[in-house]
Amino acid sequence: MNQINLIDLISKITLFGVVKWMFVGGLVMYVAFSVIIVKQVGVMTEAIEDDVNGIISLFAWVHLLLAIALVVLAIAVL
Amino acid sequence: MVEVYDASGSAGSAGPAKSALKKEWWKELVDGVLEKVGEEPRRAMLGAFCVRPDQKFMSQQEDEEIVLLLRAHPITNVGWVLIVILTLILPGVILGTGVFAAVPGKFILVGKLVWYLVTLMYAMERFLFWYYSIFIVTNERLVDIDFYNLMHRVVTYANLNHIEEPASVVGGFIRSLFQYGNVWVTTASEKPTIEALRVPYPDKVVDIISRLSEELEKRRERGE
Repeated sequence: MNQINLIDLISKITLFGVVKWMFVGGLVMYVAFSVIIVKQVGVMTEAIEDDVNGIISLFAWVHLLLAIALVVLAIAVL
Repeated sequence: MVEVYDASGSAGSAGPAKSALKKEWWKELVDGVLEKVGEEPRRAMLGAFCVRPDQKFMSQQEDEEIVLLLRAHPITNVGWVLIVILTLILPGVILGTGVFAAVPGKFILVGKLVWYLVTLMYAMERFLFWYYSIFIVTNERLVDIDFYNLMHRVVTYANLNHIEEPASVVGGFIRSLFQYGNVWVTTASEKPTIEALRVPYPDKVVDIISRLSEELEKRRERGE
């Protein structure tokens, strides 16, 4: 019975299903990378006081949010 | 009572006024040097050459002021800007050939979004490395802040009293055309040289560093 279920499950796996989870996996890693960028911007902006520091920090956070939104989109749409 | 108050007040305020004047000696020194080289506070080359910017950097001391803030010449960014433009155009060109005709539209959509996000990240990274890798000349020292990779910052200091031979190198057609080059300053410390690479007007930078160093040396000889 279990063997039949397993075969049934494997037979349901499609090429695009695999691609979807590869996409999602890659994007999760990208989110981790985006977090590092936010940290990096923090390190950089403390080196010198500048008018654009705030804009650059905001940009890094927007980039992180976009990466998270893309993970959600990939799970929902694909 | 009023006279006594006035007398003591003026006597008391002379001390702090004198010490405040003495405290700001470096401003006169910087004024003098900039006047001699014909410079005034300005921001040129998209922020790559800033004279006396009203900015602060980490570990700046109370009696320290930024005289020059330098970045690599903006023209050095052309390479990565072209790469970014190409990567923005590429998806449209590839999809136009029909190679991905069999791929479902939703995969194309997510794939394009990922592509553009990675391109955005690449552009941001390159801009950050350019914008925050700076070379600072203050009235006391040279500060070189470099970023080599994510989270890796190298800060090098050289006191203007301990520098020996500032030199500039401008070579090649592009560098001569856009007036940028390298500045090398020999120091007596463990790290023998401190360098500002591909900065605008290297001759002027060397001139300012030399004059500041000279003025500080004169002050030291006078015992001030």
